[in-house]
Amino acid sequence: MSQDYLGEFEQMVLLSIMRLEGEAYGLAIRDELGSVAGRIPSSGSLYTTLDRMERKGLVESSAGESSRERGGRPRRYVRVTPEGQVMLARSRSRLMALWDGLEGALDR
Amino acid sequence: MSAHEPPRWLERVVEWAMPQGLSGQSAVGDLSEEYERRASRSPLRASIWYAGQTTSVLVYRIFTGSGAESTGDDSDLLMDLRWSLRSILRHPGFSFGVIAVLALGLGANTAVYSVVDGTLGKTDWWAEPDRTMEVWPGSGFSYGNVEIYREETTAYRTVGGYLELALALRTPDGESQSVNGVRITPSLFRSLAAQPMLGRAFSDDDAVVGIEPVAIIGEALWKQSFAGDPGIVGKQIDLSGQSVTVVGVQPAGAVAPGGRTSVWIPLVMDPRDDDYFKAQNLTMVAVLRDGAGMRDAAADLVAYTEHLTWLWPSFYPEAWAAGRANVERADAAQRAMISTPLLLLLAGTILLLLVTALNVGNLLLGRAVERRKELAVRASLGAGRGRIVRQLLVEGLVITLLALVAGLVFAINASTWIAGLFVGEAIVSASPILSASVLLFSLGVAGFSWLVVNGVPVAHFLRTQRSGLNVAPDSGATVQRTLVTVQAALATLLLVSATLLLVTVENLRSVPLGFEPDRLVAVELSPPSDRVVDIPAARDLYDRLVERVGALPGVEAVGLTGWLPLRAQAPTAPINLESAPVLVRAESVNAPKHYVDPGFFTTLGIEPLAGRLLNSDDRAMGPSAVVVNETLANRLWPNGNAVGQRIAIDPHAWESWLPVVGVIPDIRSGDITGPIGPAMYVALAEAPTRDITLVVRTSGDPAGVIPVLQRTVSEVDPLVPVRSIDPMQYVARSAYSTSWVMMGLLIVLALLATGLGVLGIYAVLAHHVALTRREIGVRMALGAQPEVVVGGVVRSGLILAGIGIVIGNVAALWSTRFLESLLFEVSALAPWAFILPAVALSLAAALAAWVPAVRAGRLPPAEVLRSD
Repeated sequence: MSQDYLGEFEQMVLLSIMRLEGEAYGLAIRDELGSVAGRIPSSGSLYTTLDRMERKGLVESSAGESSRERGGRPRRYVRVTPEGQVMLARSRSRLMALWDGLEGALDR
Repeated sequence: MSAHEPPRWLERVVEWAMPQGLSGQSAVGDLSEEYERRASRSPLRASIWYAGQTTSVLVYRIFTGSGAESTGDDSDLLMDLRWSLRSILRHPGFSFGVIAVLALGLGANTAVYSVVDGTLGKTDWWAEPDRTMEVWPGSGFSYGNVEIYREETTAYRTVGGYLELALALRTPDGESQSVNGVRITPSLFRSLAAQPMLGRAFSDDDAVVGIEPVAIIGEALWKQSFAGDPGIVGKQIDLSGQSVTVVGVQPAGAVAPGGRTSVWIPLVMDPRDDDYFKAQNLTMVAVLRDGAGMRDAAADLVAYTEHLTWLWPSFYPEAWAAGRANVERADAAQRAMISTPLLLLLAGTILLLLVTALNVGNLLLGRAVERRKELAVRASLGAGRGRIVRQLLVEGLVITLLALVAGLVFAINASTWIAGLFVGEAIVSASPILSASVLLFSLGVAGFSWLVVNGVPVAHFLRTQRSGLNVAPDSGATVQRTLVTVQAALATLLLVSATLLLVTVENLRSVPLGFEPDRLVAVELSPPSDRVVDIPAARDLYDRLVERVGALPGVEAVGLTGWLPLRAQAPTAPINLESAPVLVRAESVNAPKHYVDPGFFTTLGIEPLAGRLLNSDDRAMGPSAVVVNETLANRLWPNGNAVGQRIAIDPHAWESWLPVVGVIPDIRSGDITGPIGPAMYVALAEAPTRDITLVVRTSGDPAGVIPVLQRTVSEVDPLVPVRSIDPMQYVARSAYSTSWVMMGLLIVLALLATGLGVLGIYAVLAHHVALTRREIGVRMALGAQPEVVVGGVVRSGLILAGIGIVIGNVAALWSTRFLESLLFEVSALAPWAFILPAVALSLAAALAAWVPAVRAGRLPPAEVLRSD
């Protein structure tokens, strides 16, 4: 069955990719997640999630430049697909709906 | 090339774990880019970081391989772990029990394996164990024999001999201490697996008659008695009154040959020495030359024995060359005593673990059935089959890992305990639990039990899945029925083995020794040669010992013997009959010659069957009288007229006839399991002997007298080392110590496994009855008699167990052959050893089925039907 909601980590990864605007590859996403969301994921979970989202069509990737310090291996630049953006928007509106009217509730 | 590169092998692991193509390539690239960044600050930390990332990639790949149906959160594995921990903590008693039982099983396996690992293969006495042979020409070897053999052999490149002896060591602080020594030919010493850690080995120059004596000492002795003096090599020590130069130190654990050696002395003898040919007390060991095999060794021995017979026809009558000569691997005896029982023990613990794991699996299955609704709900909510199986697997893994950790802690204590059980078997030792091979083994058995523990509930779950989510209440039944059968089969197999071993133990205990070992103490002494240099000197020492010990309070009787019954076999001597001289008889007779004093018989409580015992009049300066045992009397004089016959027992004085003055009942000597052979007894004072044992009968507990005995002997002569002081009961037990300890352990294992197996059968049947309560209720509501219901349940239980018992018996028919070498006076295929366990297990299974059946039969049908 096809998933119609995103896990929290998936949302965070997708948002990081969008924030990086075309410069999103593994390391950059990790750094972005660490500096903005305060959560550095392990390589295992990050790459597994990227692969899974690519299979679901939420992201697409292309090979980028390779360099000396990468041992000649290419970067994998990731973009959020339109479907991914739709899913993000849906997740967001669902959360907003749930938050509606509760903005003050946590301040008490 | 970059300045810093991640460890190549870790990179390989990541490459292997990541998918092929861009995704994997880029991930490896990302990691090395980050590594480079970190390594410029601290290469070590960067490597640690890289290893951590590798692990995370691995873990995620293994546990989220089928990520498609995942919920999309990164913490699938964490969720599974949390779920398992929660379900473990929800039933703390249950979980603790399960983990404890598994931990015991895993710990026992690890401990036994550490002993197997530490003992087999690592304790070779000889540098080339498969080429080193012990040669036994049918009678003892003298130094001269070894020299002849060395010249004549074509099969061996090294021929040598050794002799065990006790020595009195005077330590630097003036104390006299008894140490186990070995006199060994230098070339043979150099064939030992262990060689000195300090100083040097013996060279052939050390074995020259009249040269300054040298010795090599063991590391333990060096540390204890010489405070680990680094300058010990070259120093003089006092060994049995002789000043000896230390030339080397053998590393700790080197106890060969002899098994308890802590001092090595070169063996050398002057051809003019009386003992050169006469003292046949050497063990001859030889190393095959390149290309030579067992066949050459055997041919060599035949040629040698023929030569001896030709040289000394009276001393080496042809008859013994035929059957008694033997050549085998020098470590054959130790291997037979140790390896077979150890491997059997390991097999037993693995079976025990299997039974344990099956039981734990059954318990988890019980819970899985209880949880069937929870699992069904989860499945209907979209959790895939794989996901649920994975959760069950993670739960089993957590339980197994917790049990493994607890089991390792248990094993650390248990392995030294098991190794310690083998009293005096210095070649049994345990590997450290935290060594690579032991850890690998325990990981292996843990993985194995994980499979078994999880296999049961997972098999059940998959079955229920196939039959749809609407699970029938007895859906665990098929898996559980199989479990009953398997448990019954394993229990039968182990119970048959336990029965055979129990009978063996009983048979060994009831072997008639020829005397009552209670309240007897044996004190083995090794007087230095100057103390027994001639008959008057020896007699003086013996008299003083007997007098002082006999006067001690709590001592009822004291005697002396050259060869302690049950511990050693006296060297044999050929017998010449006055009525039928040996040279004209077709068949000659050899018999062990025991030197004893008159007190020996009275202390052991032996009465003559005919004639009289030796008395103090027989202690003349020369041989004067012989007492023979029943077996020898019957062989030489079948008509029963032994007393009054005359025999000669010294091949160097072939016609000095001694009267046979008495016949005594057979006394067990070295070998407790073999037939009792002929034996003869002559007065101790007729020949000075180096090895002498005091046998003491006490009025009370023999253990209480031991310290006094020790003190008294050293008061009589501080230079007479005490080799051992043991209660005779202990000597009797250690005559079959290895098999004794092994069999005890095996029996305990088998009974444990059987008990667990029966419990498992009960649990399965009880559970089965609980699940079929509704059916029972319906049948009883329809008018079925309770007896019929109960009978039905018991019958089905018995059928399942019966199938298992038959399978177990068939397996036992095949496998008891491995026990054969341990058994004594019982056949590995003794029918009752198969029938008794079958009957006992059937009864146990019937009882295990009857209890829950009766409980079900008593319930009012209406209540049963309402409750579900």
